[in-house]
Amino acid sequence: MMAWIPFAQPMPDLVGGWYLLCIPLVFGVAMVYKAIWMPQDGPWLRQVVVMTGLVVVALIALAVALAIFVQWIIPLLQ
Amino acid sequence: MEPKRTLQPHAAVLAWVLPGLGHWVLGQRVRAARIAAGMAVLMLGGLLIGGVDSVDSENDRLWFIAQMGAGPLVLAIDAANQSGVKSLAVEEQRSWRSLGHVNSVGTLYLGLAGLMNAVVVLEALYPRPERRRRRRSGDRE
Repeated sequence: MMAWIPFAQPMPDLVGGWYLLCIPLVFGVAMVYKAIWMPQDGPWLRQVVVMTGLVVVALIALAVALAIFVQWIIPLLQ
Repeated sequence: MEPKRTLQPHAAVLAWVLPGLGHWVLGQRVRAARIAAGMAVLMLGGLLIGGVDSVDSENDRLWFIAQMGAGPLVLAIDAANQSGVKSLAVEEQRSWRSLGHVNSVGTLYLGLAGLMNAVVVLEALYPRPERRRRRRSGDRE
């Protein structure tokens, strides 16, 4: 097998934990969002960390709610 | 009285060419550095995960339109994908093409980079006057 070339070829062995990649994604979005909307002398990094945490918790809650709906509520309707 | 807001088309163009550059020329250096850092996380993250196949103007046209907001670098990546990877023999393409979740996540990173930079471009086009953070009673001077 040829060696992996970062930033050119897709990352190998990433199939299993792909959902964890939402954390750096949310962090990057929060960095840009808070850069635009916060005053330049504000606590930017702290706000970025808080926003990342809130969005990730919201995503987990949404996943749990969907899992409950699909696993338990839909079978009850049948 | 608040300073008057004016259109800054040159800043908007520069913000598209290189994320953060528009705010840099407007004198908002700290904000520019923060925008550039955030865009670097999204763009380099997308490339690291999905490779150059994350940008594909032929097969993922709608995503490509969103990714275009991130500037000319996306055009260069697409050119590398179309003229470099897709011109290879099918067997050789295997290690360059991303599939399934890896391709989706890489495409999503670069798509969100483009959409976030579109907001940055609009903010650079019609910038708000800088407000100082309000001091709370417990803050140190």
